[in-house]
Amino acid sequence: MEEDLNPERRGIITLLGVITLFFLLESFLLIMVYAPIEKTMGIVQKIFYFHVSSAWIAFLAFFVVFISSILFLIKREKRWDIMALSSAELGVFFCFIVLSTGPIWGKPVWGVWWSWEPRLTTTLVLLLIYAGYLMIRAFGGGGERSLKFAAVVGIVGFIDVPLVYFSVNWWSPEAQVHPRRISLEPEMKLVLIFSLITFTAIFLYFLMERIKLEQIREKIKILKYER
Amino acid sequence: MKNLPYLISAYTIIWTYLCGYLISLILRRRKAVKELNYLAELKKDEI
Repeated sequence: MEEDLNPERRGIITLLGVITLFFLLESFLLIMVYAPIEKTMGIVQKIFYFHVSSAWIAFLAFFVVFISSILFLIKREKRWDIMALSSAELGVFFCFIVLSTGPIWGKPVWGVWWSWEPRLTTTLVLLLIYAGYLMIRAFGGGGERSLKFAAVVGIVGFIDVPLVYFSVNWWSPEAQVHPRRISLEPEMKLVLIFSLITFTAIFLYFLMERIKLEQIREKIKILKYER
Repeated sequence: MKNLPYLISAYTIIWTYLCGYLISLILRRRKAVKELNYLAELKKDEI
C-alpha cells in the first residue's frame, strides 16, 4: 500500500499525538486530584477546566478560519482554503463540546439547563454560523464561487467571537447568568493553564491530521480529473 | 458530592467526543488513502 505521507512527517504527527495523549491524561488527573473543590459550586465546578479550554480552542480555530479565509481571497492558494476548512470543522467540534458541557454545569448551579442569556445565545449563533460554513463547503459543489462565498462567511462569522467574549461586559448584569469576573485560587489557575496547553496541543494534532486528510482528497480530485 | 453525576456526565461526553473525532479522522484518512492508491494503480495500468 502506498504511504500517504513521507515517514518523517508521519512520525512528527504521531509523536505530537502521543504527547497530546500524555498531556490529556495528566490534565485529567490534575483536575480530579490536584485542583481544589470550589466552595459554593462544589465538585461540579471541575467541568470548568475542560469547558473553558474548549471555548478557547473554538475561538482559536475560528481565528485561524478568519485569517486563512482572508489569505485565500487575496492569494487564491488552495492551502489556505484547506486550512480554513480544517480549522472550521475543529471550531464547530469544540464549540459543540462547550455547548454540551455548559448546560450540564449550569443545571446544578443555575437550576436550569439553558437560559437565553447573551453569552449562551451568541455562542449558539457562533456554532450555527460555522455549521453553515461547513454546509456551504459540503453542498456548495466545490467550485471557485462556492469557495469564495465560504471564505466570506468564514470572515464575517468571526465578528461573533468578540461578541461572545465581551457579552458579559456589554449586556446588563441582570440579563446574564455568566459572571463578569472569575477569581481563581492559585492551584485552580495552574490547572486551568495546563488544560489550556493540553487543548491547544489537541487542536494542533487534530488540525495536522485534518489538513493531511484534505490534501489526500485534493490528490484524489486531481487523479479523477485527469482520467 | 451530590453533583457527582453531572461531573461524570460532562467528562464522559468530552472523552466520547474526543475519541469519536479521532476515530472518524483515522477512518476517513484510511478510506481516502485506499481510494488514492486505487486511482494511482489504475493510472499506472493505463500507462
